[in-house]
Amino acid sequence: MRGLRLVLAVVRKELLLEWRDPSRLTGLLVFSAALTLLLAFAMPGVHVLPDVAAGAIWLGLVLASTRSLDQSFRTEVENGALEGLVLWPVPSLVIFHGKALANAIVLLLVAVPLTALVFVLYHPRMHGSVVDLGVVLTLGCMALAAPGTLVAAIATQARGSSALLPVLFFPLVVPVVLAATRATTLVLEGDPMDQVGAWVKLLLVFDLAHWTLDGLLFSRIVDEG
Amino acid sequence: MSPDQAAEVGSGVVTGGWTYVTAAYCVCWTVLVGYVASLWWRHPRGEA
Amino acid sequence: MDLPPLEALPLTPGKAVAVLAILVIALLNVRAGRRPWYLARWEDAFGLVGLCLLLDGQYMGLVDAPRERMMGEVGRILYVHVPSAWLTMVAFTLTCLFAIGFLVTGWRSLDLLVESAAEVGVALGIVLQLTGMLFARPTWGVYWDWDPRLVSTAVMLLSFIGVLTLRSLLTDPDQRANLTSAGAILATTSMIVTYFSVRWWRSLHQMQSSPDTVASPMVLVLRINAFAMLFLFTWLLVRRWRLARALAARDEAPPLPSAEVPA
Repeated sequence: MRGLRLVLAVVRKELLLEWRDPSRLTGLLVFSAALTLLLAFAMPGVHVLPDVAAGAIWLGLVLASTRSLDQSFRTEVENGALEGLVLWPVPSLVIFHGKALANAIVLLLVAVPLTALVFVLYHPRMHGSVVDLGVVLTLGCMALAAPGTLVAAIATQARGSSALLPVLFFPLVVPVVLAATRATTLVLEGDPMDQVGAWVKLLLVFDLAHWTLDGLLFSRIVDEG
Repeated sequence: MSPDQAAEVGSGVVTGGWTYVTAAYCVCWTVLVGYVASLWWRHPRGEA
Repeated sequence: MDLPPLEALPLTPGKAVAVLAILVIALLNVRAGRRPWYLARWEDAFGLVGLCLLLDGQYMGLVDAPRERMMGEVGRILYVHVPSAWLTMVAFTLTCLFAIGFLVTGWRSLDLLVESAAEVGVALGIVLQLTGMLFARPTWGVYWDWDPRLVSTAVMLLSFIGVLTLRSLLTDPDQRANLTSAGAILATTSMIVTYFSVRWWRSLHQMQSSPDTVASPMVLVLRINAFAMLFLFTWLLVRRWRLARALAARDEAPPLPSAEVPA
């Protein structure tokens, strides 16, 4: 229980930082909105827009997450090392889960208006329930946040981290984009074959694996790195 | 579909294709020789 | 998995040279003295044997092996493609094991082996991917298909190239070692997850061939090529490891620029 309280304290601190400097979050929102607009112009015609709506949401989220993750260790990193983190009076596992949870919440804060915007601009059909859509969005954002936080911690220690982060991050989240886009499409267009469960399960497994494994790797590289 | 291709589909056996075979073996050798050359190239001079 | 009978293994010039090469290298290694860089160490025996076996195996694959029943001449690509697939897997499995080993023990040699195995794996993976595409064009009609094995190989290659890029951007040895190992473990897990997720998405590729489903002359040629690749891989890995060690030694003790040292 103490661990959970500490994790929540880290989350609170991270979100407080976001709250005090809202330009970051608004920047992300404008970024994803502009991307949604651009993507529509890159399509062969408006008639395909309903079919690519789910893809637009997740592509927007992945690209936005690279921008937000790049920032997520900026305050701790001085002179290219994560020394600031070691000085925190809590275990690094707690820091990881706190940071990852905060990143997931920030991504969700982007995901909700982005989904609304995609609904307005792309006119997708909506056969499933809003709750199902919310579950998929939450699981997907968490699946992006955990490996993303670890990769950000790795990349910020190198020179030219903002260029390196996507190089490490994109191959890692191929299954997330695939599963989340399939699941979202099935929720939007209806699911006569009852396939959405398999994709949600894949997201769950990915979440479980990364929220446990990445924490261990994170504490290993922070404590002795 | 050209008559050649139709014949291939008809028998279900891929005919010809030596170009691809040659290309594949060349790729193998190019990469291997290139990699060994890079090992040699990067080796610091003056020591074993 | 029965080994083919000995009579099925024709003594070709390639194999004769391979056997000779072992003897020559063994003799050279007994004798002291300075030898060229490619004949200086025990692993060079592996390299030479691998080279001879590869020449032998590829000759058999191109000339001796019968045309494949369904794929015709194109089936000969398999003698390059399948061994490179096996050895790419071996290379990346070793990378992951070395990385775990390094994170547990902290031995510097293991860190250098992570780097070496990852790099050799990328080289073999490029052979795998390119020969796979050259095989796909005449058999499936396209160079690229959204097949689980193709996609996961590409993702795996990109991940490990990313890890090597990361490594090249770090300068502090301890930090570099830790982060490379973490990245290598991530890359391996992502490859496995990608494979299964894309397989769910769609599956078109034929199942993996096992010796049971492949005609026996093919098995023999495949085995010779696989052993050739295995020997070459061992040679490349150890050679790359020596290179990493030499570079690390140079970085740790840079030679003094004696001419510029003020008196």
